Amino acid sequence: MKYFGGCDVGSTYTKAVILDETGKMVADTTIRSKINSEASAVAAMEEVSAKAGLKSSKELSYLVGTGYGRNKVPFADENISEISCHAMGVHVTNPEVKAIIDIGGQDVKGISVDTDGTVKNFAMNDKCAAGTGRFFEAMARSFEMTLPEFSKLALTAKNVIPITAQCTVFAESEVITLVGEGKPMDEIAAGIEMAVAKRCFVMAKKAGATDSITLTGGCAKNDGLKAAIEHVLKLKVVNLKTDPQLMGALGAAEYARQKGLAKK
Amino acid sequence: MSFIKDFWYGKPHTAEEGGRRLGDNYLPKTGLYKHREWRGVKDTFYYFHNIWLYNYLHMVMDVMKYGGIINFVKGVWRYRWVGQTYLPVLHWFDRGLEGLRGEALRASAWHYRAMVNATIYQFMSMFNADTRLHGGKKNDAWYHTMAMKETTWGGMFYGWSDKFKAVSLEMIPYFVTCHVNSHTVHNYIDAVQSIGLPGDPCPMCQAESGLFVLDDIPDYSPFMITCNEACDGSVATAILQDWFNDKPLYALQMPMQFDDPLANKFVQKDIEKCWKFIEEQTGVPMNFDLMCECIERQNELQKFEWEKWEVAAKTSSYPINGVAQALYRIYQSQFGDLPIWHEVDAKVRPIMEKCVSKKINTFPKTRHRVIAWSCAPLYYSNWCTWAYNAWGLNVIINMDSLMFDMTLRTDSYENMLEDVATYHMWAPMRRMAVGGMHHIFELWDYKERFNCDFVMMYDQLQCKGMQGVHGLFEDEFRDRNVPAIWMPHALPDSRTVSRAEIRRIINDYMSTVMHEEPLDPSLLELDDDMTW
Amino acid sequence: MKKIAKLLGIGVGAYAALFAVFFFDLDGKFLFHVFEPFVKNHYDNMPRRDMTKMPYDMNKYPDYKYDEV
Repeated sequence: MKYFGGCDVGSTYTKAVILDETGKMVADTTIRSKINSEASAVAAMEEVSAKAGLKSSKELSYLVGTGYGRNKVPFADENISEISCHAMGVHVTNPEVKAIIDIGGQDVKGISVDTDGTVKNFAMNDKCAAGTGRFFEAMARSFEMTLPEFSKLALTAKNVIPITAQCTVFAESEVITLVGEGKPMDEIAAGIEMAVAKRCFVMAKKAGATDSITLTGGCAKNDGLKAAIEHVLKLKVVNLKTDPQLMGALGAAEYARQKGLAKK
Repeated sequence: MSFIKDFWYGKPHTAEEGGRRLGDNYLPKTGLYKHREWRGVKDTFYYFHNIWLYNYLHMVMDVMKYGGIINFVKGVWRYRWVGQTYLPVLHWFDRGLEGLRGEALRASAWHYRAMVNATIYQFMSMFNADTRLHGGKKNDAWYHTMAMKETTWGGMFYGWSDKFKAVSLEMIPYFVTCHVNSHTVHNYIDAVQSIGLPGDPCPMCQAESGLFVLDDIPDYSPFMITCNEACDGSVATAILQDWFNDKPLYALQMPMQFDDPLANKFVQKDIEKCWKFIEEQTGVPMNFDLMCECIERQNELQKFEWEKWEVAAKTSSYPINGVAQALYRIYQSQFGDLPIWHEVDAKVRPIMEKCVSKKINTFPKTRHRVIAWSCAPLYYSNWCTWAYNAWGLNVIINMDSLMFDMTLRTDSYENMLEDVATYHMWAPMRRMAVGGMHHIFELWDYKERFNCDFVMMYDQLQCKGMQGVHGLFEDEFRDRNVPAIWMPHALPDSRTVSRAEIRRIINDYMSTVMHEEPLDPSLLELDDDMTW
Repeated sequence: MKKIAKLLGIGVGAYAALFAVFFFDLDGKFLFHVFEPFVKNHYDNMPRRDMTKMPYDMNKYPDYKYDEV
């Protein structure tokens, strides 16, 4: 049996996936990214290879690197853009979905997917941390909560307290002020989710979303954000069958599988 | 055998054919070359003799002709925007003409030559008249030079051109410097921000003001004419200039509604008032016959431009590359009529006729015919040369070229004045950027007219006028299913969006959306963050 | 004859030198690494007027409003 790997080196997390010839996922892993992206790639590939029962990633027939540090995957046979990989990852998981918002650690992307899993169009905001994983980390820190705890908090809110600051730095100050004033935490959290959902509006348009969209990247696990997007954008957020944070690595592995099988 | 062929003809363009790998010629960071491009024997020696040596020699000759070496040296020593910028001008040629061969190389290089001559003429005119270079004394040249804001059309002053020179205040110290050496302008932007101007207004206006803040504008005229083109940023600049320049000033007021007949009547009156102001300041009446003579010469330039556009639109034989087309057109239309434009057009005409008659495909690796819209990045005006070499994106035409798409009537004073008013209202960026929404529709007309299949949409980050219609363009691109790349930039300031970032955006789009392989993979990732 | 040969030799040498400057981008390298840092240092240290100290007298010159043209 041949195995094919995809490694998505992100700014915050590094993900790796191994598929077999049939496209079945045999192993996956997610580790916190180190400062050195090459070291992150090495560590992730070692871990996922061990999980797949391989001695090392050298036993893979084909490996594709992607993500923020995609050129730093030293043993990759090829590097493909993360936009393409996210599109392919969603395509193999939920082929009916054609519009993606990928909210990563430091950027937000809107991706329009074609019928064969390739990218039709995309837009990216990689200049501003507002509305990215960094923003949510900062907010969870202000709340003295973990990210999973924070993500569920907004679901219990009866009202939404709007967050007016556009910038992550100022938003953090605003949130601390609101907490200090004794405003309900769940309503503040709902305001934060709403602020990010509104930012996603432009990305959703650029992704060509008409009635449904899916979220990928770590922020896709934020239930409060999903609810806010459905409310603000009037779009159904489709839940992916696989961990949304793995979409980049999965897409990279699928590209590796297609190219590896074609290489005969 | 292939070595001899490569030596004689130059290496072929694409990776499959052997690949010339232009990116390998660069030294890291600086943008300098390990060695200049070997274009085959014929084109390399053409470049050496007819471009490199010719232009160095003619620059010296132009300096001597237009004012002499002493004024030039004094000016270089006094003004950063000359000394730091203009000597690397041959590198500007290199960047813009990279990869070109044959007729495309020749015709494009002639356009660059014209711009160099016009630039030298302008700054030598400043230096000849500058009190700062003449011990504070106001000489005869000072009394016979007019200073105007760069968005004021030079042709407004044709009526005095036998006795007076009209020299733009910021065209040479600011606009042209950004193309040649992008380092210089940072000083001016930082200077104006150091006195309290925030960082988000248009960097063009920041840099124009910064020249005055740093006291780096020559004192070459007894009065100045300013203008509110293209937008309120320009008005703010004019106020700062009025403060620092401290001279009699006339402020032209151009209405936003550039195609309103009633607005045209207002502008006619305003132009006449400006002429009256000049008559008062100079004591010399406006010469209508001279005005018409100059306009007719300018009309000849416009007619040849139309011929060029016909060739560009209908054939693959247009020998002028995107950057040469764009810059030449801006210089020509803003400076007004100069002898060099006619000389260069006379050189380019036979080249173009040869290409058309022999059906020479001047850009044979064109994959996409691109129309570029909105304000281009000044520090990376040669991006289109890179884009053609790397991806086969051939910029056929651009918005800046299309701005002054008219000839002016000279059969009567009334008709002449009406057309001068229209011409001036169609000023840079007013008609095609911030003056209403017509340009949203014009883009499609021109795209069809020039048979383009791709749009490069410049996205000047600080231009509030264009940002206001960003979404409308987005909707139109989607509805019309037109491939379009949004290229963010900060006009003259290379620090905000680097050249590498611009290339990355184009690379991502071409590989991810267009699913294309690069023609020259060595150009995809370059480290040129310190380049001119 | 010798003089002509000498002149020719000088000419060929000068041509070759110029071509070397051109081909190896020696002019660019000189301007980038030597000339620009030198002039930059000169401009950075040049004494300049503080233009903000200039009083803004809006009434110094007439308004130049022409009601009838």
